[in-house]
Amino acid sequence: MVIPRLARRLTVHQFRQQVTSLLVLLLCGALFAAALLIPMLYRGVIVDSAQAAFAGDRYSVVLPDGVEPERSQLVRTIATLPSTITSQTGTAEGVGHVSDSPGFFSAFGVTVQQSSPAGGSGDAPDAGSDAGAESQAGLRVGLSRQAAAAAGADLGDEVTVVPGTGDPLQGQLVRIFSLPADPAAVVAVVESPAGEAGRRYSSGQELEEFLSADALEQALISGADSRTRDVVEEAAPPRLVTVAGYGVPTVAALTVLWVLAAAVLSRPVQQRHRRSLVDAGLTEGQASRVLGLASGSSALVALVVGLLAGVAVVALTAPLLGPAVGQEWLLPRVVATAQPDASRAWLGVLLLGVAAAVVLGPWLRLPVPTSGRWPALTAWTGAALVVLAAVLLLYLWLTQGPVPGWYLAGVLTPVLAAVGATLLVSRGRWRRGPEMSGLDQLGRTTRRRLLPLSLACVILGTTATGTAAFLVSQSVWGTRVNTPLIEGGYIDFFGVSASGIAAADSLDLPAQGLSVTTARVPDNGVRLRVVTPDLAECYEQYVGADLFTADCFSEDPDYSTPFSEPAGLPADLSDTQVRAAPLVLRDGAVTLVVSDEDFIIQRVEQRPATPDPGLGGIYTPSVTLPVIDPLVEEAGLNPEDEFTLRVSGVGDLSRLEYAGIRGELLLNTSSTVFAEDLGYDDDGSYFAGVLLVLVQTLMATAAFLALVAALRQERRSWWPLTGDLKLTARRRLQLIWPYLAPAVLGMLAGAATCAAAVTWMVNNSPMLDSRLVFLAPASAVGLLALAQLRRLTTR
Amino acid sequence: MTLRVESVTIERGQGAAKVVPVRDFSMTVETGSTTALVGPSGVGKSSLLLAVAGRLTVSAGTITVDGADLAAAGSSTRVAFVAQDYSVVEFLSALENVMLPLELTGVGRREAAASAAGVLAELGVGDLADRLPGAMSGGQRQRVAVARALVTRPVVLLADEPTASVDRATGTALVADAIASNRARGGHIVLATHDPVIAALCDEVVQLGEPADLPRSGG
Repeated sequence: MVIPRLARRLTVHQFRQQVTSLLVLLLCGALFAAALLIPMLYRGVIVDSAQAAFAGDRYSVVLPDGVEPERSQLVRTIATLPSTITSQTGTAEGVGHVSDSPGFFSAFGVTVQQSSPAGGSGDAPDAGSDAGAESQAGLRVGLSRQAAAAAGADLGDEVTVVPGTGDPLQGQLVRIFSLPADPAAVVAVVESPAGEAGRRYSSGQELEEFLSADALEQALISGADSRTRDVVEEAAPPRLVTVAGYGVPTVAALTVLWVLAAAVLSRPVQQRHRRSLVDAGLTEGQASRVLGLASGSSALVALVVGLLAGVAVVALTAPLLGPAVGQEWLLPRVVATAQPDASRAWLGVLLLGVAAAVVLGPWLRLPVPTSGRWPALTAWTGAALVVLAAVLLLYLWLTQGPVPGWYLAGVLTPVLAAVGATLLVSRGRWRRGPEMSGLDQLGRTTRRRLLPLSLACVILGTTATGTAAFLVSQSVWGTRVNTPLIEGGYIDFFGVSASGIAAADSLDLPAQGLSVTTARVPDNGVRLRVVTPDLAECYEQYVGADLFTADCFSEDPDYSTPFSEPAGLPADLSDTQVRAAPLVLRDGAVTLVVSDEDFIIQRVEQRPATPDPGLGGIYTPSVTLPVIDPLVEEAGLNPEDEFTLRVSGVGDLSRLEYAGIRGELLLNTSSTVFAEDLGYDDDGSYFAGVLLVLVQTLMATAAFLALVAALRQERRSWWPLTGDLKLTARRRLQLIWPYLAPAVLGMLAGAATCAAAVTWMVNNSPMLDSRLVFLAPASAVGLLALAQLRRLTTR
Repeated sequence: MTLRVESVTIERGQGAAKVVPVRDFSMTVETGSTTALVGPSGVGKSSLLLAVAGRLTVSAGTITVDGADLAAAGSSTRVAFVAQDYSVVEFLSALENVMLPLELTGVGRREAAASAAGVLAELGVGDLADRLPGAMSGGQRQRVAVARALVTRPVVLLADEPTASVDRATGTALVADAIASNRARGGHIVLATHDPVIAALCDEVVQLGEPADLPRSGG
């Protein structure tokens, strides 16, 4: 009984004496919880809606009751479909199509109820409210939040659902789900009545057959899973959720590092406690148990309290934070079922890491090299880096021609800087460590207290810059190789008839601040490709070869275009100008690659063109040719009666306004397939990277300041000790500088990377493309850390 | 009871770093007496005390109480230790510090508290029973440390420069009180000191090292 009581008392004592350290640990726990929870909240919504959308629970999709008549045109089902179904023509209802463009794309099908049900005014549609309702007692009904809100229904209520076709159904509301892609959607999902498992309220026969086949149920569920992964991993907006996702391992590592550093730094205090306990009569083993229990309990309590606080804060603020970033987050009710394995795994990693740090920290001794090979090692490392850079540049030159000057600078400058800095701190008087300054005891004290901190900061700085390199370069690549965003977002409708175009015109969308572009779809435009003039020379090498074997895709975004897009024809057939998306234009010209029916390249030619910002995209033409152009006949670009309609500027609308306009367009254009980009800012990923680096830098700085504060609490802290010895400021700096240098450098590396990223982003600098530029500070910091370690441990 | 140290040699470190602070040392301490170990720094006073306390293994020789090996004698021949820098447990009150050795031997809390309070009062710090060491002066903490050592009625109380961290007046009073309290219990006290005044309070002074190395004589 004595040992646990002592451990409890020591734990309380540590909470009083090491407030700063434990507060930092508590903060780490809270950040970890937030970083883990936020993506899970978002994923939970997607999983939830995907399951509903895919009838994974054998639900049918029907029109809800209680929807206000004026909003009936917004009613849609969310039958997200595999990409095998891309178009349902000739039906009043249609299905949506999933686009793989960057940014966040809604991915739900559309069923439009042309004749509104007599839905009342939004009151809760309870049992018996509809005299004509066919009683289907026992059915389970799910409603989207919007539908539930409109109907005033709550879980457990009896509701009557009036489908677009068929009889009203009555059941109990057992589920209210969220639609992350379209929170404004009004959707009802009803469990299929017994014996009618395949019942679907869609008049599209093909769709109905597809959905109703029981044998395909598993395929649908698999598709839902796949779609969910796609949405989360690829198409989700790269802002807070992405940053938080990347933050999980970072915060976990930071927490473990912090505990380790705190354990190492508190070693003198622990030894004092140990000796006092032994003097009081405890054995060494008993003293170790007391210290271990107390340290573990302190860390665990702080961490768990932090985790709980993080969960509480996220849970309380999720309804505010989610909408603020254009998303809908579900509370932990969904989290519990969303990705429990992942959360358990990460939590396990964190706790194990903390436990290991608590156990190993007090026993950790800093290595003291015994050989004098460091200068040689430094030189060899530097030489290897220079050789590596040279080989890389040579490879680039051989494979891609002359290397741009900025690339050369981007590779060589940081490498040379790192090597130079390493040699600088490894030689001459800078190499002299504090132990060599005649203050052995003070030097050892300084080393024991500051070296772990220094290394922790270095690791944080390296992590920050490495992460920035990854995020920024990935986002730059993703942005530049894909369609440039039309400002304010857009929605494309495909297969629009001439009457649909006319109907869209009648909506007078420009009056609402939207711009409309139309292009006529040729029947076999795939035989004509448009590329930037920079690639003309390459394609000319493949004349006579298969179009698909032409290896002309450069990884340099400046030369990359979606070259497989078909060219279209102008909506106005009297148009005599070649119009092109700005991306494919160079000096007022585009390059067209002409192939025959077998996709054998016939020739490559350039045409002058005028820019049209409405063109360009995965599915919309990058070029429209006048019908009088000889190529139209040669490539068989016969105009069909279908159009592509692009409405730009929709990203500036509210969700509800946007849903209304989309509903109107779907009604009026009879389009069955659409792709949309609501204007999520791809440049946000730059900021995501920068934000992450900033957060990490701030955390490193906070850790540094907290450690300094903790040191000040020591009875014989470093500064008073130096004061007692009457050391001059210069001598103090000489002692402490070697430890501060890598720590400060580690923090500055992240900040410098931020500054560089922002500057280059503003100027659209090609330097953004070079990951090496961002990785260089990390390597420099790492080299300096090694140099410092050697120097600081040399006696 | 007689504490006998016979031909003890203590080695510390290994290889080139090996030192022999105590070589072939012998002494005898009679019941109820107080012995001062004096000598210059590095002569082996602390090592010898640690060896008697069982925290250092002797390379040669024996340490016995009434002929029984001290290390194997068990709890009936308890050894208590007081360090020079008042190593009381920081997170326990004065009373709890003194109770701790008793509780470790299985004494109930109430009984331990009563005994501890008595010893604290004997040493003049009874009114500080509920105070944490951080709120005491150095002398008060050292009195608590001595009380903690005496509370189990040890056969041998070892004190390694117990007055090194306090002023002479405080130290002298502390040692005087400790000696008085110990005599009442019939145990041995062996203390290492540099202070001739403290040494003068003891029944016997044992010189370690060369007398010429002594900083002060008179003990």
